[in-house]
Amino acid sequence: MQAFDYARVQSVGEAVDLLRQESQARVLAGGTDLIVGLREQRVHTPLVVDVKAIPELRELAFDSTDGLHIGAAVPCHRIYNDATLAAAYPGLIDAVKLIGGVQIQGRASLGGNLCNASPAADSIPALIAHAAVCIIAGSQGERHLPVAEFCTAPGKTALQPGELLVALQLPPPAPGFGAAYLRFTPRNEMDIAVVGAGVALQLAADGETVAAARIALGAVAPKPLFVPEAAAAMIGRPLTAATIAEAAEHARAAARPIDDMRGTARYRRHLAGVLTRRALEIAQQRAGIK
Amino acid sequence: MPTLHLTVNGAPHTLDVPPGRFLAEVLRYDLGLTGTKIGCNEAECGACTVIVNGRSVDSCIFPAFKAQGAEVLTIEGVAGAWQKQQSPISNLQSQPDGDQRLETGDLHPLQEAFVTHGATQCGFCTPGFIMQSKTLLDRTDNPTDDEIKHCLKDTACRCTGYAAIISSIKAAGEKMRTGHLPPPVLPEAEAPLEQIGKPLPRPDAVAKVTGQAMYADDYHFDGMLYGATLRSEHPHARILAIDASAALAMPGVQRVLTYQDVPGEIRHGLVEYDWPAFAGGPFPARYVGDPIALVVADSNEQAHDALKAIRVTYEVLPAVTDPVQARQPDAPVLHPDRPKGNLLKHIQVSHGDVAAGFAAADMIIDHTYRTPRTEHAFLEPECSVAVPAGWHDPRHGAHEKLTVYVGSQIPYADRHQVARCLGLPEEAVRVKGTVMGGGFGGKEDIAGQVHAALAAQLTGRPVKVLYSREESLRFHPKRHATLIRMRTGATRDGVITAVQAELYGDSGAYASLGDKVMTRATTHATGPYTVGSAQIDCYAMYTNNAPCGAFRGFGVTQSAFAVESNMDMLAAALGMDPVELRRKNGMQVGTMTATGQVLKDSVGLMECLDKVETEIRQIGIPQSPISNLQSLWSPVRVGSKIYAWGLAAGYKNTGLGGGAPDKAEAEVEVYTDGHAQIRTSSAEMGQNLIGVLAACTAEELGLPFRQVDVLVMDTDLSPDGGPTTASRQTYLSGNAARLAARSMRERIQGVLAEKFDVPPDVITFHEGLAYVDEGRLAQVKRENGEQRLEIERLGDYAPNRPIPQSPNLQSPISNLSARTIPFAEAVKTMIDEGRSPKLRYEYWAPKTQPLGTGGDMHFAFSYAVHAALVSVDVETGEVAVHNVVSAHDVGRAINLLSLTGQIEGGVVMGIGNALTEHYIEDNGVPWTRHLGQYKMPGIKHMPAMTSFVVENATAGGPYGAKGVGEISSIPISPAITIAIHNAVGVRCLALPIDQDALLLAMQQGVTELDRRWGD
Repeated sequence: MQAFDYARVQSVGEAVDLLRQESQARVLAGGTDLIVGLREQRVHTPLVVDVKAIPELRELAFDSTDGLHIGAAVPCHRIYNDATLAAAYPGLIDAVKLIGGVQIQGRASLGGNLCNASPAADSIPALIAHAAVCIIAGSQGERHLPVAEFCTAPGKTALQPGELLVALQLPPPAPGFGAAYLRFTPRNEMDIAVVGAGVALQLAADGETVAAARIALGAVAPKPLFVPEAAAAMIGRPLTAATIAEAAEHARAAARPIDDMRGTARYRRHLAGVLTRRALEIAQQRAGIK
Repeated sequence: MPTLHLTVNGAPHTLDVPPGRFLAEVLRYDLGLTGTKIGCNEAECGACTVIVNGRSVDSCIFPAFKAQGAEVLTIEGVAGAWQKQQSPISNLQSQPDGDQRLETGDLHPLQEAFVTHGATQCGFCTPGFIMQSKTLLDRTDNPTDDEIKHCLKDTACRCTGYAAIISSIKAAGEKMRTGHLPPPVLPEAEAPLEQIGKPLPRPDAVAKVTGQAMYADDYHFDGMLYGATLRSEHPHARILAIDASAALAMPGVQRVLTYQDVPGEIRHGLVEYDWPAFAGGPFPARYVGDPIALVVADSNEQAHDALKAIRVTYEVLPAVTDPVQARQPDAPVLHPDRPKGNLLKHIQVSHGDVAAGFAAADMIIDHTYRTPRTEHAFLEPECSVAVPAGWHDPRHGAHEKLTVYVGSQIPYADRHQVARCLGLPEEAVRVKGTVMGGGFGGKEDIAGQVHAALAAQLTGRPVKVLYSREESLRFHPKRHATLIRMRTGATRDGVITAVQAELYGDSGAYASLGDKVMTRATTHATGPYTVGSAQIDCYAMYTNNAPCGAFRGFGVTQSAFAVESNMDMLAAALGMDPVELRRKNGMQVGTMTATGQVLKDSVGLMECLDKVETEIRQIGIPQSPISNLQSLWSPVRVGSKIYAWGLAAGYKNTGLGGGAPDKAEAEVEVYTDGHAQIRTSSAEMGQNLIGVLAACTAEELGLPFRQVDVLVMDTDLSPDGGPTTASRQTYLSGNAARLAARSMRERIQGVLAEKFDVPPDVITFHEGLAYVDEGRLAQVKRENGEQRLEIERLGDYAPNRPIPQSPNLQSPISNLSARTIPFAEAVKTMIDEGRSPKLRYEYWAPKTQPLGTGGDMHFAFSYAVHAALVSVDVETGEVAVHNVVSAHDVGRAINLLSLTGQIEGGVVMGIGNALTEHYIEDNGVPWTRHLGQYKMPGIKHMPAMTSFVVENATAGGPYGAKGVGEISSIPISPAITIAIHNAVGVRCLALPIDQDALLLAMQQGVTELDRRWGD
């Protein structure tokens, strides 16, 4: 592995300065993807900026009016070990439990998973379903961007040089809300997803009509795919098996996967439909229980 | 260099380390805490797990500076931390360093449970498992199975099959709750002897659970250099030039070695000398793993950095990567000096008249099967450390000879090949086995041994050659990919009249053990059945793929898949129950194999069938709402999943066979402190051979188990035990140890018989004592009419002498006489009489006959029946294995704990073979480059396992035992594919199961699936 310098920064300002000065620098939060990339020489960098010590990136706060604020470097285990969060953001919890082994979950962060911008990342479809927004710091100040627009291509994000992902903001769930994330790996638990489906449902006061819905897919396009038409097929209609099947069919049709060693395009498209349907059924149950 | 402050196991450390260093490296190489292992270096296997500030991390990807100021706990500190937690005074410090027989009472409950429940085999993954499960037990002392599986979902074990790990964690929790460690739950078996048949913990278990066990990469020598290997970029290419000048100019680089530096024979090999230590000159690179140069540098990083600076000029040659094409006359030829082109070996079995057999058949089943190349994925990557003759090391002492430290399955073959390449007499080389982190057949060939030895010889300094996981995957021989066409003919009432088969084995670039492996595939290609006639032709072919050699099952895994699949189809076609068909044709004592061998004893197939059938009838389909199934094999749909059972049988030879002289030597030495040591160069790779040898020795000498030491794998100190392959060591080395110890016992008996003036066979050894068995003596005398002499003789021995107490028993042994002395005193007496306390025994296995000559091709076979309860998800094609019921006829269980471990580990490995494992190459270029891309079963894949032990003793085996190492992974793959067929009606003719294709087949109503995942 090539030699690199390591800088542990204490503030957002310090990080932004370093990232501006060294355009090839890479941000290290949990480091689970970056380190392996460096070792395989897929990633080259003269400088690794460790942002785990920045207070804003470690903040995890939830209240019922503002929703959930997750610092970009908060490790997965802090999210899924919190019973309040598990009840409020079940789709997100499904996803973070799947990211790597428990040893990884002690370090891996949503910020890292997002910035790595893998089309197959588990957390991103779940974040999109939960309508998460990125809070980004740069030398010009702070800007906000929906997670659905954050990834631009495999490994590429909307972050400009000198910008740092600081946190994610998720709206608060209302009564009648349910969400779920499912992934399929054809051969092994440890493998990356071949298809991932994140869904969220908001039922109207009648407990039956779909007031709002969001559906996103992983590993079926060059970037995580937000599928508004699948959600649109449900909104305003009663949440029945037929409604769910129609949404799933939209998701299947929206998927544009490729053939690779992990699965054929045909299979992935089919699974996108099956997983969307199954995730919606789980979300329906969760929405009903509340 | 920046400064790192951290606390490890309570001790503060301050050290200067480069910024790019990782915590695992700091622990292992800077602080010498080698209990933390590196298995993959990419956070896939969890072997490197340590606890940082209370949370577990994969230390291989944890930058050292992230541990700045942190509290780190490693495996070395777990027992101490527990002691501190329990009482302020720890007695652990009083234990000598590295003592492999520490008292388990000093350990953390997890460590103690891993020892007594057999959760450590090769031990390489053990520190990671203990650290990771400790974080769970710190949170809850009563974890559920699901919590345990979630906790360990990314922590990999290749030996145990995970069952013993789960039971250990639960047992440790119970100990924490109640102060009592429950014993493991084991299969029923025959009543044990003194040692044989007992679930004795492995002799090295405590060393393995405390991080003290020394694997090759744990050795460090002052002044040591590091070797890194440059490998071919092409599957087939002539090396025109190698320019290493830029590499030599790089910092730290000492030498760059190529084929021109090899003083002896360049080519090595186990059977054929066809594998060059370096490609170059007359030897082209024949696969992408072929070595071209070795950089020797001051550090491992410098050596690897310099690889990129070497310029190789290749002339790319056409490659052949398909074994059938390799047999075509126009195929590129890999080894022009061989007489038959790419044909490594044509193997034939001919038995009776197959034409007549098929003519007599009412039903013929004819199918073609494919099995993939698969990878051993032992968790310890290959490592060799060579120390030049004359080198003195403060820790590891003087080295009179060029010494290679390595974890290898055949130490004497290593010595032979190293000496041959270096142009040295074999006596000038010493191979010293280290603890080995798994082998499964993958550590039989030369890996870095020759390179390390050559570099040490040329530089005059110790040299370590450690493979990365990627290099290990790319380099070492795999399980043969095969193509098998199999025709089975039977009469209406199910009598098999003929079997005809054609097999192609892809042996890859070099012979390795290809000829032997494919021979075994061929001779076992009629399955454990008596068949009317057989004609089997097998072609083992050279190709430009990775070499293929030994892998647990040794060819039989592949042919059993074809045999059993055909058997199930035959049963279906005849409308017979598949178990009934197997009973009808199954081997029994007195029946003949297709190679013409009449089975003389120990054929437990029928008992295995009975036990498994009864048990699955008992279990039924637990997920099913219906309690009464139409038949054992009926499918049940629950939600989107269809469940069904499938069953398959198998058999596997013990020992080399085929006329190869098969022997093992063992040396026993008894000491005046009352202990014994047994020595042989058989390999301990995790299977607990050392426990078997200790048990046999202790049994014969009447010593407590812990008073027998075992020394293995040292070519200077331990005699040749032969290769550790073919499930042969329990039989071969077990017999050698048993007979060496028995001969020693007879020697001592002879001396004591004179001393006490009694016949030798009334001298009895028990629990560390030697005594005259007075009851037996009286009986002998009665028989001889000598009762009148009794009183006189007793008078020879001081009647008032107190009877010594057995050190390991609360009460004295009931039939002790006044004529009782401790074993130690017996040894002294023998030495005083001028007899040597050392004895070497050369055990020769029963003679076998070469294939084609009829007669006994093997001296023993083991049998097994496996049944799998599988579900197939009709919406996704997902296959899951829920239950596995197995029965194994092993002759005799020598150690019930290790035997169960071999069964469970073999079964889970077989699940991987059926469902997930495939080493993928694309025109000779590997796609599988990382452990994460090679899908071996994780803890979540582990089914519920019920294992039956059948003990149908074989006359020649030690206490009746035969091999188990391989048979446990053989019938499981076809049992799974047969279950899939029973569930959804699709026959999978290729492994591993392609779930995508399976789903498509279900949707399209296709009933046969011969495409393989990745094709």
